[in-house]
Amino acid sequence: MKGNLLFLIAIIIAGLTPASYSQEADSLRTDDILKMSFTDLMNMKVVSASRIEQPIKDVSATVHVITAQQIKDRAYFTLEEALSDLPGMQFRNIVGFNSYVFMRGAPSQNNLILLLVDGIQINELNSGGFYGGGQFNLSDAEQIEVVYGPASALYGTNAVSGIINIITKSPEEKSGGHISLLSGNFKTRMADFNLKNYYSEKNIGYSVSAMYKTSEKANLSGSEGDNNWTDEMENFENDISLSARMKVKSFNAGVVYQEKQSSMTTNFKTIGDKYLDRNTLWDIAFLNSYLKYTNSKHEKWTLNSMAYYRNSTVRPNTIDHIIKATETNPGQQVGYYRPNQLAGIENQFNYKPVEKLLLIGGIIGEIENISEQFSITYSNSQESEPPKPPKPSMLNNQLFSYYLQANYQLSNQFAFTGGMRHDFSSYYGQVVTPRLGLLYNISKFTAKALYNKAFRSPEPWDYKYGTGNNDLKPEKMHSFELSLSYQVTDNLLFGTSLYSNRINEKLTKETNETVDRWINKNKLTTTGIELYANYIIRDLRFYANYTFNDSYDQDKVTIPEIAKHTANAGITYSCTENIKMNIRTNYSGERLNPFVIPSTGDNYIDDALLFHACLSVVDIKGFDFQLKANNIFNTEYYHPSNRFAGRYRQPQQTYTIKLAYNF
Amino acid sequence: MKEYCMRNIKTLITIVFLSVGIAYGENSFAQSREYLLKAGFLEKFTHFIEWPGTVSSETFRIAVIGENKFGNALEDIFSKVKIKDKTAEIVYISSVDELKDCMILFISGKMDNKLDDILNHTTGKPILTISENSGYGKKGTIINMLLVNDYIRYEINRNALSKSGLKMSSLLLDSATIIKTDE
Repeated sequence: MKGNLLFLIAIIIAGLTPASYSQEADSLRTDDILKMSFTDLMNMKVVSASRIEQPIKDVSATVHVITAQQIKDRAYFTLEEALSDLPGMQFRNIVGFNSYVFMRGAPSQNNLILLLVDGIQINELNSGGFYGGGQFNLSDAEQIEVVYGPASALYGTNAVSGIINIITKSPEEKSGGHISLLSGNFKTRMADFNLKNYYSEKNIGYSVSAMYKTSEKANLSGSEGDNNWTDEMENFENDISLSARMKVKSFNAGVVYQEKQSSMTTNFKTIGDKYLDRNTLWDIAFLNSYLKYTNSKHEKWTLNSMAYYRNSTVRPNTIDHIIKATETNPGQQVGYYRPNQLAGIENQFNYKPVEKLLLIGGIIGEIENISEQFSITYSNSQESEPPKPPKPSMLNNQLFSYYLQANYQLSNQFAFTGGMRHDFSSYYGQVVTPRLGLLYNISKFTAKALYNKAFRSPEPWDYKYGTGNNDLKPEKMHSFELSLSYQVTDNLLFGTSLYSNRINEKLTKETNETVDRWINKNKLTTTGIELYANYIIRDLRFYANYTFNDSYDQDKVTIPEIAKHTANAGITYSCTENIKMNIRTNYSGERLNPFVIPSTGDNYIDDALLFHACLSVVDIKGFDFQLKANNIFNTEYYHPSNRFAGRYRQPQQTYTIKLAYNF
Repeated sequence: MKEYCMRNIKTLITIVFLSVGIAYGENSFAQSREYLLKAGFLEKFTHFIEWPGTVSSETFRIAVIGENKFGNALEDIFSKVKIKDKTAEIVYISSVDELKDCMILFISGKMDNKLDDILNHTTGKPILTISENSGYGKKGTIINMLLVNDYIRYEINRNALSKSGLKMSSLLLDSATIIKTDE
């Protein structure tokens, strides 16, 4: 039967012969154009809509976009900082080798969110979780699209809470480039550059960019860090990002290399414990490369073909932790190594056989070669380095997926979306994820009623944890959402989303005297409402959002690490053509910590209200100057810890100065 | 399962090659969508631009010089909306001598031979000049629309804008590539 299905897909594609296309008028009408906001129009593709290149109001999901201008005006330094101003985002920043983003009330190791760079996943292959931190070159981002809610029906595993797609600047934009230098407290330094050239007559272009960052991020020593670490603690992060893109007519090729080197100090409490809080190193590198071919010249259909290669490797010079020497024990350093790679091909088409119907389909094949476990070596003492770990035994996994989605315009106001994706894996068998959506658009008002199913496949990181469990099944989520937005004028937008999500067969740790492993056991329910507004008046831009979220398990017990109330607001004022000011504020309500916090004697993380500001002087003979302060009132605030009995002190007042030259 | 997946992947590879082969086939490119979107941009621009003083004529005049690639898109759109409370009038001209009372001039396609003449007639006047050719923004049109990755993007020539006396919202400026030409 499945063979027949493949054959059917082949027939559909083969049926799309050029001869079958007529020069019928485009289905886009002037009424559609007039209903669009300016932003909608900017997001319209000249050729035809595809699965993600539609106006936001026509997409079967809630979508928020962080533009390059916002990244620049607000001087975002890390991906999490850029996400922190959006509704529904909460964080566990361990101020160390990783930080974690919780979207719509579902805490995780970043493996419920799919992170893409130019449409290619960059989640770590062994755990399925993406790495937060500074390794993303945000000055090279054209925009960051954040799709809320499950999207496994199009994207497969990990697209459970949502998708974050970082779209880098295209070679086709204005030729030129920029170079910038940044300096700040906590030994923060950054240098980055990019260069683009495009030859329109030949339709050929390229872009290259590079970035280096280093920072100690915060003062966490002694009492400043809640007495989790000593005064001699070391805490650094060095990030490298290199990327290149080339466009030759309908072909696009790209490569992205990211490397994050960080101390592992904050992964463990060291005061009163056996760990040393210096000389560790977590060294992880990501390499994504792709070749894409797009045929978008036909009026009725578009074809995107892509071959890609991904590598995410914990490099063999990694020192995960160091056991302190004692009078009876010389201590030891522990080295880790974990290589992983994946190669895949995807063929995706959009087909519009009649004016009211858009079909989106795709087939994907992937081969993974993944470490079964970390390869670990030990040294003989606290001071000596461990031998380089040998290559671990590797697992091979084959994945095959296909998806099909239909968007049907029922009437001038109503549209229906239905689709499903079928994933087959040599690890976890097969998963079907459907989606249904009903969209209502009238004048400036949009309503979306959505049902989605999503899943997260267990990875070797889960199977092999502790005593191991080879019987793990995918976590599955059912999601219902009602999203409303009203574009009052081109300058004023109100929106709200109500959602209810349930994750079944949630991976839960089973720990007793003989067993320490993940099992499929609990349920997680999250319900909530997000409210947001954007307003532009003359040279003033204002945004505000509020989120209420309630997350609880099968016994109605509140899930730790999730605040019920969060809110964000910000204002950007263009004082003159060359001077801009931005002020932002983030509020996170009280939340439960997974453990009792020794320094307070309870398990609550206090609420926090933070303010940040940025002054930009731009475009003075090509030069930009920025002065930025985060946490300007030096508020003492914390994030929860699921790693040890304690909490994570967050950065104190932080300031940076940046000088850039655009050419 | 492993054998099953491998079989599927082989089939998949065949399909990819088949599809890529098909994708190379002959095709023709309909431009109506592009110009419908450009007409939409033109309408949106009028929301974010202020013309100096009051518009004296009874209608808001938009001129198109060069080949009309819009079809009826401009007429369709501006028959449904007014600009600054005035009815829009679309005129198709072949010479800048016909520019009288125009608030917007759309320079259609490539007009290398006429561009200097057009700019001589429009620079320093409250006429929003909109072109669609690489390099025209630098030469002096106020807005120059370009296709970037199949999206419509635009440049704004700040000096030309300043000379025209038109006031432009930061929303338009923020979304544009700004060009600064030497005096």
